[in-house]
Amino acid sequence: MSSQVMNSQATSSKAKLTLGPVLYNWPAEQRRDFYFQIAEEAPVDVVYIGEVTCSKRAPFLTPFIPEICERLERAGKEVVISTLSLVMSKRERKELHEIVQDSPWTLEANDLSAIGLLEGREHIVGPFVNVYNEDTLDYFYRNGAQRIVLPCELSGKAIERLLLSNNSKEIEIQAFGRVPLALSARCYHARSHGLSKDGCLYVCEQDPDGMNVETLDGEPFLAVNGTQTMSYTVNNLLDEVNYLNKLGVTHFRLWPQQVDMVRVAETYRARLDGKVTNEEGQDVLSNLVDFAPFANGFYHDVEGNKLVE
Amino acid sequence: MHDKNALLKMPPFTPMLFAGFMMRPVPAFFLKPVAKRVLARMKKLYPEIFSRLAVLENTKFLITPTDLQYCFYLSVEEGQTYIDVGVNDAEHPEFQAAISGPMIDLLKLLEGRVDGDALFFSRALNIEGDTEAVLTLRNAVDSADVSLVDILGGPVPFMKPGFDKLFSKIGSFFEYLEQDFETVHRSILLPITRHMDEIDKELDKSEDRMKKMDKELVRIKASLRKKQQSNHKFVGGMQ
Amino acid sequence: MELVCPAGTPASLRAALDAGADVVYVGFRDETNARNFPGLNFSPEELEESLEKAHDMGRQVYVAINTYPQAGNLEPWYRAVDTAARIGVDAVILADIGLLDYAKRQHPELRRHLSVQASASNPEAINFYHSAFDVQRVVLPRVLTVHEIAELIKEIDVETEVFAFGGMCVMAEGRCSLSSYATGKSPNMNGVCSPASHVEYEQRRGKLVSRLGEFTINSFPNEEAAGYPTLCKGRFVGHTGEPSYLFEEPTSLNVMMLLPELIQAGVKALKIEGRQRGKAYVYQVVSGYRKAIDAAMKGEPVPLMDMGNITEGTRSTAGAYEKNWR
Repeated sequence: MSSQVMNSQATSSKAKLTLGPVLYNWPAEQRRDFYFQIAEEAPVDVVYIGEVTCSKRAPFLTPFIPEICERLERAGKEVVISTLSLVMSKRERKELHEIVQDSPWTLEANDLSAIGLLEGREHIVGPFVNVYNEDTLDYFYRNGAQRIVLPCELSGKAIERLLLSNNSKEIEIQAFGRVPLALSARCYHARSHGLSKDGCLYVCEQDPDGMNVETLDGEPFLAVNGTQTMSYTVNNLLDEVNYLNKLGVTHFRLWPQQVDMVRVAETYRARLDGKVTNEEGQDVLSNLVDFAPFANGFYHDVEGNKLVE
Repeated sequence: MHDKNALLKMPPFTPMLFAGFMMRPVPAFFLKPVAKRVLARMKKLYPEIFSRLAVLENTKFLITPTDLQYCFYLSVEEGQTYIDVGVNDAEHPEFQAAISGPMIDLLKLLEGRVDGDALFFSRALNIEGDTEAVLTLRNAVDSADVSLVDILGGPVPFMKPGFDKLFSKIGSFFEYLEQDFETVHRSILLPITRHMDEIDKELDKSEDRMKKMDKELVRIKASLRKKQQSNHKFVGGMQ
Repeated sequence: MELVCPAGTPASLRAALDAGADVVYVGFRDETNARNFPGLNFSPEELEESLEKAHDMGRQVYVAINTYPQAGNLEPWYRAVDTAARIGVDAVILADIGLLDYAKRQHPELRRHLSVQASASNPEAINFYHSAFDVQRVVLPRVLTVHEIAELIKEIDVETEVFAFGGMCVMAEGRCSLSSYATGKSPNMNGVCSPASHVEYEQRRGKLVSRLGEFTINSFPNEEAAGYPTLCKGRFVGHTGEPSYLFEEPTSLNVMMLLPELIQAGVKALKIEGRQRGKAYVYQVVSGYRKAIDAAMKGEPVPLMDMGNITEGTRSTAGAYEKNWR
């Protein structure tokens, strides 16, 4: 019993920070430069890269991926390629088959199609796959998952119960950034510009942190990112990460936003290492994020848009 | 604003409205035993409705047929359902949820001859307060094949055949009348509604103007803050 | 072509059978199904009686157990599957991987369908569910065009069921947390979307204003048809600064026009949405679709019925089945 406790404490000290894939349509060169900077400066252990949101954006980033991955690996980062979250067309399926066959890097499966193709092979189950309970968690580990990223709406209590049966396997939660709430076949960015998805003119590029959506009363509510709908609020679990780490969460994901992500990563690292207090860390983050308020409601089992202090 | 709401709550012009005028001399307390009798019959005929209502624990509904002077207080207390009758313009006891609409629609709803959502979508039905309680009531009532003929024909069974016929005649009579009244209704109310619409539009316009001004203010504040921040950053950078 | 119809109560089930449903799908009165609404759904006893009635008429009953079991509290979902198996329902409709695995291990003979909530939108995902859990049918998410469905059917070994009429998710089903973001309750966890407990209607200066949690979802002028305050069908303000239906109008799905194409595509079953609707709705829609399917199967022109009165916002759309919807 006591050796188990020792074990979990041993893993807890090795809490890892990950950088999730860029969910927005940032220009390819900007993404490349962003990753170069992350490679050089950010204290993250794992970097996920790849187009998750819209397959129409993928061709721009793809040519840069080998160069970016090489740079990240040289800097000692674990590189993971994230796959598309909603797979429908022939082209999307073909690309998925190719990536599963050819990728020298580990893959993050964001749809059951990828999970099926990766059966028996080591992979990561991404946050767009529904994992709500211990049975499903077990099934995916048996299927070959080395790590599972939990969906955004799971509460701290649910995470705690999941970890009871987890046997020290790797678990990742979404700690920072606007959370992806919904996927659709329809592109709301195009729709809001009076365009169709096919003729979208890539208008999503205009909103690198998502397009704010307000209610009729002028209250900010959501953010649109192409076919994806995001929270308006910025999820921030800085205050919760150490507790979660003690419970057995091994990886903490930061979603890239148009803020100084190096500073964000430094702040989370410092908090995990006990080098700053929560208040000091929150101060830094508040100064970095000026486009929307923080929230942690999902974690606290209330409305996701709420901030529980 | 209050006047406006009062106008909106004007009864719909239906045959029931006239029936209501005729019934005006009948005080509500004469209707109470009838309502209670109907509820008792329903409990006996359709126990499934009341088992589904029990989840509400303690909830009071105000049900207002908008074309009658009477209203019904339906309450669920510790698993038991009670009914009382009141007068529309009187002060109502406390309630958690309110449903209002023309009597014909409410009766159709009771018999499951019309879909509650459909009535609501078409704006015939209004609900206020605890939406979940209203939904529970609707689902509970819809779970049984309620028949007004069975309910009303029940207490004196030997009268049933005659009553049955009379009732169905009354039903179709009202449905015919309903259509004719709709025409008259429109012609009487059109000038008033037009005028009200104009006032509404004016109010909307000024509300929009206010909102725009609000937003402008927020923008100005934000840009001011950003300027201050970038000054800070610049100074910080120099250090 | 099988006509699969909704019932939230035994009375609705009878209405569906009377109107010509081949199959009625229902849920238990708890959080194990995605229409966990107050006063709705079936007790095991009601299900038993209803099943007997359906079987006597030569029809079938499916049971939806299509929410995601809660961590540390799997018992209600296990029990729902066990009860469905004991009563002898014709199929269970499941979404969660863990629960599919449980059902396959404990009740291998119980027919399993994949719920739309699992959002299996391509052959690879569907074939995975088939090989891993021996799923016999998949309810397709409302993200595919008729053409894509036809292509998909060629590449899978299981039957397909598609939504024909009723409420329409504009997001990929089972992959949406908008409701819990606004209210704390979600379809996946609680079996509710934009739950009535968080809905408020308010009459404000000649308009019906609907609110969900703390957010205003819509405002209907008095002469305009209203809709549910489902948050993806509300009026919002995007980059233009003008209010619009940014995600979708309040509207219902209706594919009657596309029936011949869906039959051609090889679709096995048509599903009507609306376990939360009244029996009047069930009877009207099921009768309409019964006539339409019978005509279409004989190659006759499909009699188009006016469903205006029962649709949301009194409007309907072929939704994602037509490519220009995207």
